Amino acid sequence: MADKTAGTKRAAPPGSRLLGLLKPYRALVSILAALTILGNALNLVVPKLLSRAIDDYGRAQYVPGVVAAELFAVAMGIFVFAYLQSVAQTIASERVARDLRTRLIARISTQENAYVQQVTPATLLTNLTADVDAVKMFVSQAVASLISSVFLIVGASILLLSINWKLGIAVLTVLPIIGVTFSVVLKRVRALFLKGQEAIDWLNKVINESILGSALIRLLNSQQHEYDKFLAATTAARDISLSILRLFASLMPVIIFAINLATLMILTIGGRFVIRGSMSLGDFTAFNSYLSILIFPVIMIGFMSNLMAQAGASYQRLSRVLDTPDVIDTGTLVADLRGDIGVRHVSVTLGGKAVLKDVSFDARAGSRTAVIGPTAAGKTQLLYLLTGLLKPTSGTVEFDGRPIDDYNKQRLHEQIGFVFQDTIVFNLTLRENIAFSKTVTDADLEKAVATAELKDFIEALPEKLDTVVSERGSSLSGGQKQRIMLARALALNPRVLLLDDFTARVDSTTERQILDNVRTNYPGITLLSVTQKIAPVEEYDQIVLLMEGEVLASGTHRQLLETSPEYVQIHDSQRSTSHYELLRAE
Amino acid sequence: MTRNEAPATTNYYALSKPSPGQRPASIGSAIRRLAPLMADEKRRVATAFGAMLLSSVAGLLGPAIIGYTVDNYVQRGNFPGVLKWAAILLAVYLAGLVATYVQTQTMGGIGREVLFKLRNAIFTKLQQLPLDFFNQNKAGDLISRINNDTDKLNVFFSQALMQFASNLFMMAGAAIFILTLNVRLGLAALTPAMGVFILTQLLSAWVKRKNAKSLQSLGGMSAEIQESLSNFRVIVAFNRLDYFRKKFDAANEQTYAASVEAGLANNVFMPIYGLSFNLAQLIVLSYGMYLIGAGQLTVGLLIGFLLYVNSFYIPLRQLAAVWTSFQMALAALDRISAVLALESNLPLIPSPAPARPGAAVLAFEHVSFSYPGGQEVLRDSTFTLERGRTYAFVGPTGGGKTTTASLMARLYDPTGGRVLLAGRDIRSCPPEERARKIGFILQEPFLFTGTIRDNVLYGNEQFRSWTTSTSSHSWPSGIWAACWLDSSKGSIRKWRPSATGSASGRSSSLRSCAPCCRIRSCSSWTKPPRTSTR
Repeated sequence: MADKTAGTKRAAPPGSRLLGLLKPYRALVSILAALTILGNALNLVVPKLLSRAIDDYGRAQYVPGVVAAELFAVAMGIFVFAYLQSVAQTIASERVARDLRTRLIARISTQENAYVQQVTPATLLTNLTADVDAVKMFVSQAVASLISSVFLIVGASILLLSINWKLGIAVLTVLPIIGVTFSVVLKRVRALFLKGQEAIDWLNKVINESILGSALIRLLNSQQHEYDKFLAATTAARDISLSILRLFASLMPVIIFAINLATLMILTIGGRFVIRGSMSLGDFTAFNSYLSILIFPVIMIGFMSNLMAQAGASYQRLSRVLDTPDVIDTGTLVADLRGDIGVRHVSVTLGGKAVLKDVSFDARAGSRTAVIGPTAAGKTQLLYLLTGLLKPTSGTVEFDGRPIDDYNKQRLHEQIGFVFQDTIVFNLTLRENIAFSKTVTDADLEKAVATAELKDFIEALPEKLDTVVSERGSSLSGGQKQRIMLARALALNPRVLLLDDFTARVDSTTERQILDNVRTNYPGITLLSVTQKIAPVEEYDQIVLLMEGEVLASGTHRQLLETSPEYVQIHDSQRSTSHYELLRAE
Repeated sequence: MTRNEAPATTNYYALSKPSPGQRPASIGSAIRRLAPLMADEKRRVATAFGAMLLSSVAGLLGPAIIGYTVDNYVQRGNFPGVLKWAAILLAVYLAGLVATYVQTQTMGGIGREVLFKLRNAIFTKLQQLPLDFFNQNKAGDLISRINNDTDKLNVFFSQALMQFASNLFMMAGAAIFILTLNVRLGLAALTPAMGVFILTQLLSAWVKRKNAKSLQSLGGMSAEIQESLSNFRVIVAFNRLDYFRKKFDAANEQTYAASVEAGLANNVFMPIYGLSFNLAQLIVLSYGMYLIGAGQLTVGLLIGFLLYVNSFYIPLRQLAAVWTSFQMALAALDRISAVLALESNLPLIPSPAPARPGAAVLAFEHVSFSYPGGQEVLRDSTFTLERGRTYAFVGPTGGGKTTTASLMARLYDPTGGRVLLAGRDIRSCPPEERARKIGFILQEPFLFTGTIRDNVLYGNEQFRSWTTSTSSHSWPSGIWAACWLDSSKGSIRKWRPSATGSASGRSSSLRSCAPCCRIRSCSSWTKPPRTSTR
């Protein structure tokens, strides 16, 4: 079934896909099934042993030691099989979970950044944890239970029919009743489960945001507002959960009642047969005990179908990730960059909104270019284009005259240093954070640290470069984090350096010092800096004025002052900004 | 040590370390811990209890009626008598049907209500805890703790609790029947259960430890994934997908190992319970035969005994089936309790003096500050800010600028000295008043899922009612003024008509920091602040 092509796979119901998932674990599942069946078969022997002992006693053939020994042997056998079964199902389920997670991560790590942003990290996290857990539960609990339940139901039914087929058929009529009730209820439950999962996702989102936005909430004292949002989500989750409960509350009693009706049939019809003499009292008793064997597996299937519905829904969500096609790097060109950048008629549309419109400019190798513009001008998107994190809707980005798609991505990334606008510090040592790329040597690292003016800061730390920096550690200031980001990009020894609003958080003296360091330590590097402030970039070879996704003007500072009224306006507004009183905090 | 005196230099809020002195979980202690959560549900608990009693009695009566009918009517060939007792049996079954329904419904309802309250308690606590708490814990780990742990409790409360309770009930009923039939044989029959009980007590600390470890490694893995996925750009741009995979693989293997250990520990109970059942049958048969030989028991009674041993041990085995989820729920409850036990280190102190109208709007008096476990950031700084003037704090990175601003808004309390807001200690200023007086634009902008309007109006009670209107024209003029102040009116206008109603999820906020800052600053302008910090 799993050999079919992707097209037919999609049409298969989630249940069969779930079973398909088990294919690679055939051996383990077979062992599990064998252990389960052996354990249950031994379980069926126990009543036989007991009744024989009682019969033997009646015939005065009872030998205490032998019966006890037999019973003890069977009990130990059941124990050993049950224990091995639990070991097998634990290992099987955890392996399935581990391998699923590995497959998901392998799939995600072949994707581009845009994919992760589109699906959202939060959803992927849910897939990797909650959804995998649901599938794991299916394997650990449902598989063995279903095998043993089916075995017991079939076995007990055969025994019933062999004792008295007329009464057997009458008793077994309750099974379809139970089946129909289940399928009707479960269909509705499944829909509710999906809704329930959505409610939980919503709830988690509110909780996540209240954690990630904790500083803002405290500043605005908006705890009550957060609580209201939370209350709406949690109430919805509870209400759906209550609707599911209502369905189950009616399901279980109906099933138990159906079984009870069977008992009633045995009593009346069977009683009549016994009175007429067409059935022995022993058979009558056996009917009752086999019915009690039937009950547990039927109830078990009920609970497991609950699990299966959840696992099926989860696996469906996982399949969406697993079925995402590979992104194939078509670029074959492995070359050392000179550093010429060319942007040719590039337009980008995100979510139906034009972010960049027909943008063109050139930056020669070794030159310094600044992209100036107000917020939402599309500056960041421009940098993303240059690293291949974003694909242009039309137009091309070129390095050394060749389209970016021609280049081998990995080799290209090794030569382009990108300092992101928001600081991203991994929960690693400073050394690992800065030498984040694998190609970094100790000399590269040292040069990068010196250039980013981080030497003194690092020397002052008790463990120097081996200090672990925490995720959102308060121990690092915004500027320090920004400089760590710069050092990380410089440690690549890049030919092209892209700075996204680097000036925003580093004071201008340090900034000037750092940029001088870059010129000295990395001669010939192509610098492209996105910024809002004109003053630090006045000396640059080229300034590109970007507004609302369009290039309004480009040229040197002097040229722009003469030709572009918008540029002059920005320039003037920035010169007249501050008449602040300087105050020394001592 | 009271919470208020907890020195700010210790990592009081760091959660990830496992607490060494964990008490072993017993059913008793678990009930004691769960009971307060059900305190308001006394009537429903009583209803559920009654229904459970009724359905158990109905369940136990069934075999007795059948036995009686067989002995007195079937064997004597009295079919009308059989029919009469069949009708009585039907009535018992119907009563059981109703009782089981009521029991499922109320018990399930209570479970969900308890979960609902627990979630509320956690969330309320999260809102009360200071920023320190969020700095000292990884966001991913916190999220996993809250989400996964409440989910484990959810599974327990919505599915297992009911079985748990009704099985305990069944067992109690069967035990009483067994002991009243024959005390000595009854005690003998219950001996294996006693053994299992003791074994469970001995093992449960170990099982709980394994579960806690497994939950912790799961939390660690979630944190790992969360970190990597949110920073996917950097990983792609620096060719470190291998780093992502390697870190994940290590965490995955660790989780696998811990989960297998926890799984083996959890699953050890089921076979043991099964064994105790078979041993009980063995004991009853052997000892029963001996008693029959001694003339103290009849064969009929022995058969009855074997049936009631079933009624005792089958629920016990089902109990083992839900034991896993019970143990997980307890481990989760422990982790949640750890959060619930934390107190804010920013209490509101009683105000000795009312705000003086003439006082400087903000003043620092010999303020010192250091982050937990970190170096001193501010040392004995004193200054005043006068009303209506503009100030700038200038300094190199790491100079304490952000820290100063955070202290002004009381995101932290100083480790020494005082911050005065309008002449009075900021620690005595109610949070509502403080938030009204101080606007703060954070360095790291954050947008909540929702419309731009939601985000602009965020935290503003006064304009909340406008959030339902759809057209931007109907925005209160105060808001447009605020947007205009920050020159973001143009960009918001441009998004019309969809934008003011469109979602600005986390992903889209990544596109540009600046509009995000703008929206944030709008939201601080909409409440005319006394002090604005950015």
